[in-house]
Amino acid sequence: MPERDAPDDDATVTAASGGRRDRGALEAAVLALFADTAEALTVSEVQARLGGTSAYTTVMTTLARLHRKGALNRQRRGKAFAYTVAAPPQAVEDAIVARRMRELLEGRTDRGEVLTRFVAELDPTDEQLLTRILHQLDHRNQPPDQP
Amino acid sequence: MTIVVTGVVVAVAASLVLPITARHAGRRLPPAALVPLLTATALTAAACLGFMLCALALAVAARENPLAATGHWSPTILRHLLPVPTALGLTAGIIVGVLAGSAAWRVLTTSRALLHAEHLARNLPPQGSTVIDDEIPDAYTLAGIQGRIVITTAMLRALRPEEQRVLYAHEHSHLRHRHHLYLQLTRIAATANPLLRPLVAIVRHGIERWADEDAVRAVGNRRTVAAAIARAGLARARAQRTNAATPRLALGGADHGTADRVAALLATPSQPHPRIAFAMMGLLLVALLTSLATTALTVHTTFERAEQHTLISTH
Repeated sequence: MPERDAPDDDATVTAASGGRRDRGALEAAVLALFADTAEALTVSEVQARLGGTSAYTTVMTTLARLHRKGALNRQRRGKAFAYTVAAPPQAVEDAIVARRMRELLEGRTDRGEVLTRFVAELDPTDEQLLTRILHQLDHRNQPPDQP
Repeated sequence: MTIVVTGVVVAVAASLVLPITARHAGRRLPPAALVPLLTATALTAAACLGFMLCALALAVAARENPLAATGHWSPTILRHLLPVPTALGLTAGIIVGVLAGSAAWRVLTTSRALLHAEHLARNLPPQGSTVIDDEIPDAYTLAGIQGRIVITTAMLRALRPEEQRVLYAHEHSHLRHRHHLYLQLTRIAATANPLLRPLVAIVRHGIERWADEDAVRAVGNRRTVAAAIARAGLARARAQRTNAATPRLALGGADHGTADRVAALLATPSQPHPRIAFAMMGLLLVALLTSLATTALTVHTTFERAEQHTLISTH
Protein backbone atom coordinates (compact mmCIF):
# COMPACT_ATOMS: atom_id res chain seq x y z
CA MET A 1 0.00 0.00 0.00
CA PRO A 2 1.48 3.32 -0.97
CA GLU A 3 0.09 5.02 2.10
CA ARG A 4 2.43 2.87 4.17
CA ASP A 5 5.08 5.22 2.99
CA ALA A 6 2.96 8.24 3.75
CA PRO A 7 4.85 11.35 4.80
CA ASP A 8 5.95 11.12 8.37
CA ASP A 9 6.06 13.86 10.88
CA ASP A 10 8.78 14.28 13.43
CA ALA A 11 6.50 13.51 16.34
CA THR A 12 5.75 10.02 15.06
CA VAL A 13 9.38 9.43 14.27
CA THR A 14 10.52 10.44 17.70
CA ALA A 15 7.85 8.33 19.33
CA ALA A 16 8.61 5.35 17.16
CA SER A 17 12.36 5.42 17.48
CA GLY A 18 12.67 6.58 21.06
CA GLY A 19 14.37 9.92 20.62
CA ARG A 20 16.66 11.97 18.48
CA ARG A 21 19.80 10.12 19.39
CA ASP A 22 18.39 6.78 18.26
CA ARG A 23 17.01 8.41 15.18
CA GLY A 24 20.44 9.75 14.19
CA ALA A 25 22.03 6.36 14.86
CA LEU A 26 19.39 4.60 12.76
CA GLU A 27 19.87 7.07 9.90
CA ALA A 28 23.61 6.46 10.01
CA ALA A 29 23.06 2.69 10.03
CA VAL A 30 20.66 2.90 7.10
CA LEU A 31 23.06 5.06 5.11
CA ALA A 32 25.94 2.72 5.87
CA LEU A 33 23.81 -0.13 4.57
CA PHE A 34 23.01 1.72 1.36
CA ALA A 35 26.66 2.70 0.91
CA ASP A 36 27.54 -1.01 0.63
CA THR A 37 24.90 -1.94 -1.91
CA ALA A 38 23.94 -0.84 -5.38
CA GLU A 39 20.49 -2.41 -5.38
CA ALA A 40 17.20 -0.80 -4.55
CA LEU A 41 15.79 -1.91 -1.22
CA THR A 42 12.27 -1.87 0.16
CA VAL A 43 11.41 -1.09 3.75
CA SER A 44 11.15 -4.77 4.73
CA GLU A 45 14.47 -5.54 3.03
CA VAL A 46 16.17 -2.72 4.90
CA GLN A 47 14.54 -3.86 8.12
CA ALA A 48 15.81 -7.39 7.55
CA ARG A 49 19.34 -6.23 6.75
CA LEU A 50 19.39 -4.12 9.90
CA GLY A 51 18.93 -7.36 11.81
CA GLY A 52 15.29 -6.81 12.59
CA THR A 53 16.07 -4.74 15.66
CA SER A 54 14.02 -1.78 14.49
CA ALA A 55 10.26 -1.73 14.03
CA TYR A 56 8.91 -1.67 10.50
CA THR A 57 7.32 1.74 10.96
CA THR A 58 10.56 3.13 12.37
CA VAL A 59 12.53 1.96 9.35
CA MET A 60 9.80 3.25 7.08
CA THR A 61 9.81 6.74 8.58
CA THR A 62 13.61 6.83 8.56
CA LEU A 63 13.70 5.96 4.87
CA ALA A 64 10.97 8.49 4.09
CA ARG A 65 12.90 11.17 5.98
CA LEU A 66 16.17 10.37 4.21
CA HIS A 67 14.28 10.53 0.95
CA ARG A 68 12.84 13.90 1.85
CA LYS A 69 16.31 15.16 2.75
CA GLY A 70 17.55 14.11 -0.65
CA ALA A 71 19.84 11.35 0.63
CA LEU A 72 17.78 8.56 -0.95
CA ASN A 73 15.84 8.21 -4.17
CA ARG A 74 12.75 6.05 -4.33
CA GLN A 75 10.65 4.30 -6.96
CA ARG A 76 7.40 2.43 -6.70
CA ARG A 77 7.95 -1.33 -6.66
CA GLY A 78 4.66 -3.16 -6.49
CA LYS A 79 2.83 -2.00 -3.41
CA ALA A 80 5.79 -0.39 -1.65
CA PHE A 81 8.71 1.91 -2.46
CA ALA A 82 12.23 0.77 -3.21
CA TYR A 83 15.03 3.08 -2.13
CA THR A 84 18.45 3.71 -3.59
CA VAL A 85 21.22 5.98 -2.43
CA ALA A 86 20.99 9.39 -4.10
CA ALA A 87 24.44 10.82 -3.48
CA PRO A 88 27.96 9.67 -2.65
CA PRO A 89 28.37 8.80 1.05
CA GLN A 90 30.48 11.88 1.86
CA ALA A 91 27.81 14.19 0.49
CA VAL A 92 25.19 12.37 2.51
CA GLU A 93 27.29 12.72 5.66
CA ASP A 94 27.72 16.39 4.91
CA ALA A 95 24.00 16.81 4.53
CA ILE A 96 23.47 15.14 7.87
CA VAL A 97 26.08 17.29 9.62
CA ALA A 98 24.48 20.36 8.08
CA ARG A 99 21.08 19.29 9.25
CA ARG A 100 22.26 18.61 12.80
CA MET A 101 23.90 22.00 12.95
CA ARG A 102 20.73 23.62 11.73
CA GLU A 103 18.71 21.79 14.33
CA LEU A 104 21.04 23.30 16.87
CA LEU A 105 20.58 26.74 15.37
CA GLU A 106 16.92 26.84 14.52
CA GLY A 107 14.78 28.48 17.08
CA ARG A 108 17.20 27.49 19.77
CA THR A 109 19.00 30.74 20.35
CA ASP A 110 17.50 30.45 23.76
CA ARG A 111 19.13 27.17 24.52
CA GLY A 112 22.74 27.71 25.31
CA GLU A 113 24.13 29.81 22.49
CA VAL A 114 26.76 27.36 21.38
CA LEU A 115 26.75 28.49 17.76
CA THR A 116 27.88 31.85 16.49
CA ARG A 117 27.06 32.62 12.92
CA PHE A 118 29.17 34.63 10.51
CA VAL A 119 26.22 36.70 9.30
CA ALA A 120 22.80 37.23 10.82
CA GLU A 121 19.52 37.70 9.02
CA LEU A 122 19.04 40.81 6.93
CA ASP A 123 15.86 42.78 6.74
CA PRO A 124 14.96 44.35 3.35
CA THR A 125 16.33 47.78 4.35
CA ASP A 126 19.65 46.30 5.45
CA GLU A 127 19.78 44.28 2.26
CA GLN A 128 19.42 47.40 0.12
CA LEU A 129 21.98 49.24 2.21
CA LEU A 130 24.51 46.41 2.00
CA THR A 131 23.97 46.00 -1.75
CA ARG A 132 24.80 49.67 -2.20
CA ILE A 133 27.84 49.53 0.11
CA LEU A 134 29.15 46.39 -1.57
CA HIS A 135 28.74 47.95 -4.97
CA GLN A 136 30.80 50.94 -3.84
CA LEU A 137 33.45 48.73 -2.25
CA ASP A 138 33.80 46.52 -5.32
CA HIS A 139 33.98 49.55 -7.51
CA ARG A 140 36.66 51.20 -5.41
CA ASN A 141 38.72 48.02 -5.01
CA GLN A 142 38.90 47.38 -8.74
CA PRO A 143 41.45 48.93 -11.03
CA PRO A 144 40.06 52.12 -12.64
CA ASP A 145 40.04 50.72 -16.20
CA GLN A 146 37.43 48.12 -15.30
CA PRO A 147 33.74 48.98 -15.23
CA MET B 1 17.92 48.10 57.14
CA THR B 2 18.87 51.28 55.33
CA ILE B 3 22.16 49.83 54.16
CA VAL B 4 20.44 46.78 52.64
CA VAL B 5 17.75 48.90 51.00
CA THR B 6 20.46 51.22 49.69
CA GLY B 7 22.19 48.12 48.37
CA VAL B 8 19.06 47.07 46.50
CA VAL B 9 18.70 50.59 45.10
CA VAL B 10 22.36 50.62 43.99
CA ALA B 11 22.02 47.20 42.36
CA VAL B 12 18.81 48.15 40.54
CA ALA B 13 20.11 51.55 39.48
CA ALA B 14 23.39 50.10 38.23
CA SER B 15 21.51 47.41 36.30
CA LEU B 16 19.33 50.05 34.68
CA VAL B 17 22.26 52.33 33.84
CA LEU B 18 24.54 49.54 32.62
CA PRO B 19 22.87 48.93 29.23
CA ILE B 20 22.87 52.68 28.52
CA THR B 21 26.54 52.93 29.50
CA ALA B 22 27.26 49.84 27.43
CA ARG B 23 25.73 51.37 24.32
CA HIS B 24 27.76 54.51 24.86
CA ALA B 25 30.94 52.53 25.52
CA GLY B 26 30.24 50.26 22.57
CA ARG B 27 30.99 53.09 20.21
CA ARG B 28 34.18 54.07 22.01
CA LEU B 29 35.88 50.99 23.37
CA PRO B 30 37.52 48.30 21.30
CA PRO B 31 35.23 45.24 21.43
CA ALA B 32 38.02 43.14 22.94
CA ALA B 33 37.90 45.44 25.99
CA LEU B 34 34.17 46.11 25.99
CA VAL B 35 32.95 42.50 26.00
CA PRO B 36 34.94 41.21 29.02
CA LEU B 37 34.19 44.40 30.93
CA LEU B 38 30.47 44.13 30.22
CA THR B 39 30.36 40.46 31.14
CA ALA B 40 32.17 41.10 34.42
CA THR B 41 29.92 44.04 35.29
CA ALA B 42 26.80 42.09 34.39
CA LEU B 43 27.83 39.19 36.62
CA THR B 44 28.63 41.61 39.46
CA ALA B 45 25.29 43.40 39.05
CA ALA B 46 23.46 40.06 39.08
CA ALA B 47 25.36 38.87 42.16
CA CYS B 48 24.78 42.21 43.85
CA LEU B 49 21.02 42.18 43.36
CA GLY B 50 20.81 38.56 44.41
CA PHE B 51 22.81 39.21 47.55
CA MET B 52 20.74 42.25 48.57
CA LEU B 53 17.48 40.37 48.10
CA CYS B 54 18.90 37.46 50.08
CA ALA B 55 19.93 39.83 52.88
CA LEU B 56 16.40 41.29 53.07
CA ALA B 57 14.86 37.83 53.14
CA LEU B 58 17.37 36.60 55.72
CA ALA B 59 16.76 39.57 58.00
CA VAL B 60 13.12 38.53 58.23
CA ALA B 61 13.63 34.77 58.23
CA ALA B 62 16.35 34.83 60.90
CA ARG B 63 14.06 36.33 63.54
CA GLU B 64 11.46 33.60 63.07
CA ASN B 65 11.90 30.68 65.31
CA PRO B 66 13.35 27.65 63.58
CA LEU B 67 16.10 29.73 62.05
CA ALA B 68 16.55 32.07 65.02
CA ALA B 69 17.03 29.08 67.31
CA THR B 70 19.51 27.35 65.00
CA GLY B 71 21.62 30.46 64.57
CA HIS B 72 21.22 31.55 68.22
CA TRP B 73 20.18 34.99 67.04
CA SER B 74 18.11 37.28 69.19
CA PRO B 75 14.98 38.23 67.22
CA THR B 76 14.68 41.45 69.23
CA ILE B 77 18.18 42.62 68.36
CA LEU B 78 17.73 41.66 64.73
CA ARG B 79 14.42 43.48 64.56
CA HIS B 80 16.09 46.48 66.12
CA LEU B 81 19.23 46.52 63.98
CA LEU B 82 17.65 45.37 60.72
CA PRO B 83 14.02 46.58 60.89
CA VAL B 84 12.97 44.98 57.63
CA PRO B 85 9.16 44.77 57.34
CA THR B 86 8.02 41.14 57.10
CA ALA B 87 6.20 41.76 53.81
CA LEU B 88 9.35 43.25 52.25
CA GLY B 89 11.50 40.35 53.39
CA LEU B 90 9.00 37.82 52.11
CA THR B 91 8.69 39.55 48.73
CA ALA B 92 12.47 39.71 48.44
CA GLY B 93 12.67 36.04 49.32
CA ILE B 94 10.15 35.04 46.67
CA ILE B 95 11.84 37.20 44.00
CA VAL B 96 15.31 35.90 44.76
CA GLY B 97 13.97 32.36 44.81
CA VAL B 98 12.44 32.69 41.36
CA LEU B 99 15.49 34.46 39.92
CA ALA B 100 17.99 32.02 41.41
CA GLY B 101 15.86 29.15 40.18
CA SER B 102 15.74 30.41 36.62
CA ALA B 103 19.46 31.24 36.69
CA ALA B 104 20.20 27.70 37.86
CA TRP B 105 18.01 26.36 35.06
CA ARG B 106 19.89 28.55 32.59
CA VAL B 107 23.22 27.22 33.85
CA LEU B 108 21.88 23.72 33.36
CA THR B 109 20.61 24.29 29.81
CA THR B 110 23.83 26.08 28.87
CA SER B 111 25.95 23.21 30.16
CA ARG B 112 23.75 20.74 28.34
CA ALA B 113 24.04 22.72 25.11
CA LEU B 114 27.83 22.80 25.54
CA LEU B 115 27.93 19.05 26.05
CA HIS B 116 25.74 18.57 22.99
CA ALA B 117 28.03 20.84 20.97
CA GLU B 118 31.07 18.94 22.21
CA HIS B 119 29.46 15.69 21.14
CA LEU B 120 28.71 17.13 17.69
CA ALA B 121 32.25 18.49 17.38
CA ARG B 122 33.69 15.06 18.09
CA ASN B 123 31.65 13.65 15.20
CA LEU B 124 33.19 16.16 12.81
CA PRO B 125 36.60 15.69 11.22
CA PRO B 126 39.33 16.54 13.75
CA GLN B 127 40.72 19.58 11.98
CA GLY B 128 39.59 23.03 13.05
CA SER B 129 37.23 23.70 10.20
CA THR B 130 34.86 21.55 8.20
CA VAL B 131 33.56 22.41 4.77
CA ILE B 132 30.25 20.79 4.01
CA ASP B 133 28.66 20.50 0.62
CA ASP B 134 25.48 22.52 0.94
CA GLU B 135 23.61 24.87 -1.35
CA ILE B 136 22.83 27.33 1.44
CA PRO B 137 25.59 29.87 2.15
CA ASP B 138 26.32 29.53 5.83
CA ALA B 139 29.23 29.62 8.26
CA TYR B 140 29.36 29.21 11.99
CA THR B 141 31.51 28.32 14.93
CA LEU B 142 30.48 25.55 17.24
CA ALA B 143 31.50 26.16 20.84
CA GLY B 144 33.20 23.51 22.90
CA ILE B 145 36.46 22.34 24.38
CA GLN B 146 37.90 21.93 20.91
CA GLY B 147 35.30 23.84 18.94
CA ARG B 148 34.69 23.52 15.23
CA ILE B 149 34.17 25.85 12.33
CA VAL B 150 31.60 24.78 9.76
CA ILE B 151 31.45 26.44 6.37
CA THR B 152 29.26 25.44 3.46
CA THR B 153 30.55 25.21 -0.10
CA ALA B 154 27.92 27.74 -1.16
CA MET B 155 29.39 30.27 1.29
CA LEU B 156 32.91 29.72 -0.06
CA ARG B 157 31.64 30.10 -3.62
CA ALA B 158 29.93 33.37 -2.70
CA LEU B 159 33.18 34.93 -1.41
CA ARG B 160 36.35 36.06 -3.11
CA PRO B 161 39.60 34.38 -2.00
CA GLU B 162 40.69 37.22 0.29
CA GLU B 163 37.19 37.33 1.72
CA GLN B 164 37.40 33.63 2.51
CA ARG B 165 40.46 34.50 4.59
CA VAL B 166 38.29 37.05 6.41
CA LEU B 167 35.73 34.34 7.13
CA TYR B 168 38.34 31.94 8.52
CA ALA B 169 40.01 34.67 10.59
CA HIS B 170 36.64 35.75 11.99
CA GLU B 171 35.59 32.24 13.00
CA HIS B 172 39.03 31.40 14.41
CA SER B 173 38.80 34.49 16.57
CA HIS B 174 35.53 33.15 18.04
CA LEU B 175 37.24 29.86 18.86
CA ARG B 176 40.48 31.32 20.16
CA HIS B 177 38.87 33.81 22.52
CA ARG B 178 36.00 31.50 23.51
CA HIS B 179 33.50 34.19 22.67
CA HIS B 180 30.54 31.96 23.44
CA LEU B 181 31.48 32.02 27.14
CA TYR B 182 31.00 35.79 27.35
CA LEU B 183 27.62 35.48 25.72
CA GLN B 184 26.57 32.57 27.89
CA LEU B 185 27.74 34.22 31.12
CA THR B 186 25.99 37.46 30.24
CA ARG B 187 22.86 35.49 29.45
CA ILE B 188 23.08 33.78 32.85
CA ALA B 189 23.57 37.15 34.56
CA ALA B 190 20.56 38.53 32.66
CA THR B 191 18.47 35.59 33.81
CA ALA B 192 19.43 36.19 37.44
CA ASN B 193 18.81 39.92 37.03
CA PRO B 194 16.28 40.59 34.24
CA LEU B 195 17.12 44.31 34.18
CA LEU B 196 20.34 43.28 32.42
CA ARG B 197 18.53 41.68 29.48
CA PRO B 198 19.46 44.40 26.94
CA LEU B 199 23.11 43.51 27.58
CA VAL B 200 22.75 40.13 25.88
CA ALA B 201 22.24 41.71 22.44
CA ILE B 202 25.06 44.17 23.10
CA VAL B 203 27.47 41.37 24.03
CA ARG B 204 26.33 39.28 21.06
CA HIS B 205 27.06 42.20 18.76
CA GLY B 206 30.30 42.85 20.68
CA ILE B 207 31.74 39.39 20.05
CA GLU B 208 30.98 39.69 16.34
CA ARG B 209 32.70 43.07 16.25
CA TRP B 210 35.64 41.59 18.18
CA ALA B 211 36.01 38.79 15.62
CA ASP B 212 35.67 41.34 12.79
CA GLU B 213 38.50 43.45 14.21
CA ASP B 214 40.65 40.31 14.53
CA ALA B 215 39.91 39.60 10.87
CA VAL B 216 41.01 43.15 10.04
CA ARG B 217 44.33 42.43 11.74
CA ALA B 218 44.64 39.18 9.78
CA VAL B 219 43.98 40.57 6.31
CA GLY B 220 45.12 44.13 6.95
CA ASN B 221 42.23 45.86 5.26
CA ARG B 222 38.98 47.07 6.82
CA ARG B 223 37.24 47.33 3.46
CA THR B 224 37.94 43.69 2.60
CA VAL B 225 36.40 42.61 5.90
CA ALA B 226 33.38 44.85 5.32
CA ALA B 227 32.95 43.48 1.80
CA ALA B 228 33.19 39.88 3.04
CA ILE B 229 30.46 40.42 5.63
CA ALA B 230 28.22 42.29 3.21
CA ARG B 231 28.65 39.66 0.48
CA ALA B 232 28.05 36.78 2.87
CA GLY B 233 24.95 38.45 4.29
CA LEU B 234 23.55 39.18 0.84
CA ALA B 235 24.28 35.68 -0.43
CA ARG B 236 22.41 34.25 2.53
CA ALA B 237 19.50 36.61 2.05
CA ARG B 238 19.28 35.64 -1.63
CA ALA B 239 19.34 31.94 -0.80
CA GLN B 240 16.60 32.56 1.70
CA ARG B 241 14.33 33.99 -0.95
CA THR B 242 14.93 31.23 -3.49
CA ASN B 243 15.04 28.35 -1.02
CA ALA B 244 12.17 28.19 1.43
CA ALA B 245 14.02 25.54 3.44
CA THR B 246 16.77 27.93 4.47
CA PRO B 247 16.91 27.93 8.24
CA ARG B 248 15.96 31.13 9.94
CA LEU B 249 17.25 32.28 13.23
CA ALA B 250 14.60 33.07 15.76
CA LEU B 251 16.35 36.30 16.63
CA GLY B 252 16.62 37.30 12.97
CA GLY B 253 14.94 40.30 11.50
CA ALA B 254 14.85 42.33 14.64
CA ASP B 255 18.57 42.98 14.84
CA HIS B 256 20.57 44.99 12.38
CA GLY B 257 23.80 43.37 13.51
CA THR B 258 25.24 42.59 10.09
CA ALA B 259 24.66 46.04 8.64
CA ASP B 260 25.95 47.65 11.84
CA ARG B 261 29.14 45.59 11.67
CA VAL B 262 29.76 46.68 8.08
CA ALA B 263 29.11 50.29 9.05
CA ALA B 264 31.47 50.03 12.03
CA LEU B 265 34.24 48.65 9.81
CA LEU B 266 33.84 51.40 7.24
CA ALA B 267 33.57 54.23 9.78
CA THR B 268 36.80 56.07 10.39
CA PRO B 269 38.08 54.43 13.55
CA SER B 270 37.89 57.53 15.68
CA GLN B 271 37.34 56.77 19.32
CA PRO B 272 37.17 60.23 20.83
CA HIS B 273 36.81 59.49 24.52
CA PRO B 274 37.65 55.90 25.36
CA ARG B 275 38.77 57.07 28.81
CA ILE B 276 35.34 58.41 29.66
CA ALA B 277 33.79 55.13 28.57
CA PHE B 278 36.30 53.19 30.67
CA ALA B 279 35.70 55.50 33.62
CA MET B 280 31.93 55.11 33.41
CA MET B 281 32.09 51.34 33.28
CA GLY B 282 34.69 51.33 36.05
CA LEU B 283 32.54 53.58 38.20
CA LEU B 284 29.59 51.24 37.89
CA LEU B 285 31.74 48.26 38.78
CA VAL B 286 33.21 50.05 41.80
CA ALA B 287 29.77 51.22 42.98
CA LEU B 288 28.44 47.69 42.78
CA LEU B 289 31.43 46.13 44.52
CA THR B 290 31.46 48.80 47.26
CA SER B 291 27.80 48.37 47.96
CA LEU B 292 28.25 44.60 47.97
CA ALA B 293 31.17 44.78 50.39
CA THR B 294 29.62 47.28 52.83
CA THR B 295 26.30 45.46 52.91
CA ALA B 296 27.99 42.13 53.44
CA LEU B 297 30.05 43.59 56.28
CA THR B 298 27.05 45.28 57.92
CA VAL B 299 24.88 42.20 57.70
CA HIS B 300 27.71 40.10 59.08
CA THR B 301 28.37 42.37 62.08
CA THR B 302 24.65 42.72 62.74
CA PHE B 303 24.20 38.99 62.94
CA GLU B 304 27.29 38.69 65.12
CA ARG B 305 25.94 41.26 67.54
CA ALA B 306 22.58 39.54 67.63
CA GLU B 307 24.31 36.27 68.40
CA GLN B 308 26.65 37.67 71.09
CA HIS B 309 23.75 39.31 72.79
CA THR B 310 21.85 36.06 72.94
CA LEU B 311 24.88 34.31 74.44
CA ILE B 312 25.31 37.01 77.09
CA SER B 313 21.63 37.09 77.95
CA THR B 314 21.43 33.32 78.37
CA HIS B 315 24.27 33.34 80.95
